[in-house]
Amino acid sequence: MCPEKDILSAFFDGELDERFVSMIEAHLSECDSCREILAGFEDVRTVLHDAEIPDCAPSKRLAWSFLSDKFSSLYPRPVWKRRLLIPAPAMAAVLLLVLVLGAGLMVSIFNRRDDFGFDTVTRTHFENVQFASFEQIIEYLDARGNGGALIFTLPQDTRLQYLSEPTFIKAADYKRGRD
Amino acid sequence: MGKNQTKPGNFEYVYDITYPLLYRIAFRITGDENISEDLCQEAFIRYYKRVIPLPDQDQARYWLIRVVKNLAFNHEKRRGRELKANYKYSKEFNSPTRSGETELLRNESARIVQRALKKLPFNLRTAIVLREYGDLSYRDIAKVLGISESNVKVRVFRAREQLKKHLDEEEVDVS
Repeated sequence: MCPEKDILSAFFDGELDERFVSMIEAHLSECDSCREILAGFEDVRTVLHDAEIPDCAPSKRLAWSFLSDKFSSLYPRPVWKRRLLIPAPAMAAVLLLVLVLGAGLMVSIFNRRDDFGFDTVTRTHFENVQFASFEQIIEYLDARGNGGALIFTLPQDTRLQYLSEPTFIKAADYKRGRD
Repeated sequence: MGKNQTKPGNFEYVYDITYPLLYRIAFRITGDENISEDLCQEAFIRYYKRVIPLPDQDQARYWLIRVVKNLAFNHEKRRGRELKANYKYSKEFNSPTRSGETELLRNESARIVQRALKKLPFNLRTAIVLREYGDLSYRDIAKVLGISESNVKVRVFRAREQLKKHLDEEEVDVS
């Protein structure tokens, strides 16, 4: 008995469940009309693929120049100032920002190049700052200016809790949820 | 590509590697290179403006394809309304001088294929285009179109069946 034609079509695309592939292959070895149907699929595929398509290179260049102009006017700020949204549950993922250069350290590393190739600047204080979002970190760094070593640590007690598997949601729904 | 774009480098990368595929899909769905270019541009604008960035290239690709498909659908709906309103243009689909469509399609069989594809209902056309030109699996097509894999299988098959009929009518040597 012949399989349904859409099964043959799935077989043709290599999308048929493995369990049934050998059954179909066995049937095809004995059935002319099913083989003909498959041949028809093959011929349609050949015609589709042989049909020319315009070269996309000019269009790609044109589209890019249009996009570049559009984006530079929409987003003049440097990329790292772009708003990044971090899905941070309230209980978890609070980042500590610590400037570490205590007195003891000061003596041993004064005027010595550290591993990062910078001359070490001594400080006598450290700050322990908490942030609730990445944006706040960026703002803080902006305000501070250059220099210093920053260490990010997660809280000792990991209050991370599993909420759910990540899912994609529409941007509009996310914005609505935030408001 | 310019160095002074303000978007992270991966946007340019995604654009570079995805544009040809997107254009190919748009062209096969719409049959018009100008429209295809517009659709691709719009899709990348929306991608750039995404609030939540996508985790990897595959997700970016599927997302862009879905946007192009939706834009193509809207365009076709609008076009259908315009054609109904302007009856004298209703023969446009059969005219070989439609702008953007035939400028580069010098190959007659390419025109025939495009005409045959255009005769398919949008849902079937999209499924077969994603399969044959997007090289997507049934699973990925299902994700892009928001339907079941079983539905994809049926649509691809029906598209093949109808295409064969249309191509036979055009006396293209399909057998």
